[in-house]
Amino acid sequence: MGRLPLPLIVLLAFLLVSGALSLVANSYILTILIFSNIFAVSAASWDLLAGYAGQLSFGNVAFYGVGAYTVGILHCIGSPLCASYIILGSLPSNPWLSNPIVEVMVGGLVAILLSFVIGFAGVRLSGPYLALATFAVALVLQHLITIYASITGGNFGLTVGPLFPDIRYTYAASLLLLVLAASFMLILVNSRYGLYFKAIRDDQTAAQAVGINPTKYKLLAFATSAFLTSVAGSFAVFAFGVVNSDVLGYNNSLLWIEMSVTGGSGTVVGAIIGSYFIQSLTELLRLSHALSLLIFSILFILVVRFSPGGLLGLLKRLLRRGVR
Amino acid sequence: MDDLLTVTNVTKRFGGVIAVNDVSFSVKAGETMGIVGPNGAGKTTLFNIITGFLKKDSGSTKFDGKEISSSSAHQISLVGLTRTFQQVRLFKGMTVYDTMRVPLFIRKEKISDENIMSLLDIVGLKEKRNVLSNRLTYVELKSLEIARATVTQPKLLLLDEPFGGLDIDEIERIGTIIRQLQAKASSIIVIEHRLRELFGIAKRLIVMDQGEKIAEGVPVDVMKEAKVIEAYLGKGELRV
Repeated sequence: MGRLPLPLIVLLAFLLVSGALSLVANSYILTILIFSNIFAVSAASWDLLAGYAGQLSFGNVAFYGVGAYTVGILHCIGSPLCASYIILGSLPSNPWLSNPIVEVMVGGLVAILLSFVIGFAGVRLSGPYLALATFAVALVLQHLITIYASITGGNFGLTVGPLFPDIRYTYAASLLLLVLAASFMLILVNSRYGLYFKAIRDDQTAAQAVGINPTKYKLLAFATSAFLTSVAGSFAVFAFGVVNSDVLGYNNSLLWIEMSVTGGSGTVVGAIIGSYFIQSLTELLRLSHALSLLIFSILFILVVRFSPGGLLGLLKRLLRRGVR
Repeated sequence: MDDLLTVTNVTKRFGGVIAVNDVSFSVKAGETMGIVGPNGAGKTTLFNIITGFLKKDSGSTKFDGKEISSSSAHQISLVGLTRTFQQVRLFKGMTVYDTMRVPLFIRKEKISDENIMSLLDIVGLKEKRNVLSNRLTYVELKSLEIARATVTQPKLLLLDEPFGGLDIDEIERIGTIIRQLQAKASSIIVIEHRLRELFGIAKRLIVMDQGEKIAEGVPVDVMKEAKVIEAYLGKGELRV
């Protein structure tokens, strides 16, 4: 039997530790673990787009918001839970629209449509220009949420109530989501499509010279990343029962980038490690927001300067030294 | 024998500069042709037009009997016209072996380990199949780029200055590789400044200067033409 690659061993170890911890953890720790799992999916989706396909996006939070608000809006139709000023609450309810699977899928499809709009910009733009364009899309979406308050609940958002009766079920579902999303992404990046993404990232002209259509595969990367991020956004609403315009805050996009880069960009697994690491650190530094920003910034610079492969790269290097 | 590539009256302007001016030539199946000319003659621009990386202003390029001038670069590659670049362009985050698999995957061709390894053997990279491209030496990068362009057995292979930036031993190595690969690509066009090495590969030459084709024919005869000598050495009398 061949040896398992290190990223996979690390991933399995993480999931095992996370699972074991959940058995003894209180609801506070479980909430951190749930957030870590949800953000791990979002960060890994960003990594798929930027780390593999080279499409630098500062606006992935738009896909997260689309997933979250689709669930919120569909769930609110005919629901007494929705605030009285939201017109959706007075509409007749439809059991199909309040089906969680349908809501997640609709959210995913809307995110894919949005990703095509952004992706077509990505065909013409690259690097910082693309990053700013994606950032602008997220900002526009956040403003639309505020403007159309009669549908979205404005700054107060929508209350749909948690889907799971117990936080341990929520945790188990979040872990399942992470395992499924990570498996899908790992299969994708290790397939021929992963090679096309890398080829476009490394040299688009060379990719075209060997026959790769960059437009097609950039759009594929955008659509996949958008769908998975949207699913994470939808799940967050199921987990915590509310959605408001904070989910579209640019700090989420930056956080996922930090998670991916700190864990190890271009690996998928690195983003998962990064999510757990950054979420834990965030909780440890919760008492001082200013201090946490400073520490995260310094950490980011240190990782980029001294360990471009992130924590996963550092672990690989340490193991290699240990073997010698 | 039928023409594989026919370039007819191709012109390309960049603002006020005419980079390629009314150039016509053709390449037959099985033929190896060289394009020479001083810097700025328009050779690489011509390559970029043929391979779809630049759009011509006028004229036509036909490949295998079909007009390709409106096709995009990746479509032209897929119909069997592949190329290398003056400045090596590789996938630096990919291993040597993966680099060779990409062109085959995109054509949905069966990946033959034997085929890839035999090609890597020819270019001297068999032992480095699992090495990342960014760890290779310059001559190895050049070799890999040629192998990547050849692995799909193209109908026409365009090599842009394959000897550029190499020392004598490395030039010999690349020359040997090209001669060995001549059977794998039906036809080859080589842009090169190093005439001696080019004469060992190409049976026919076209000479370009300031965007125009100034001569065409058998290498030895072409290089004797007054226009060609003038393009390379300049006009005027030699004063001692």
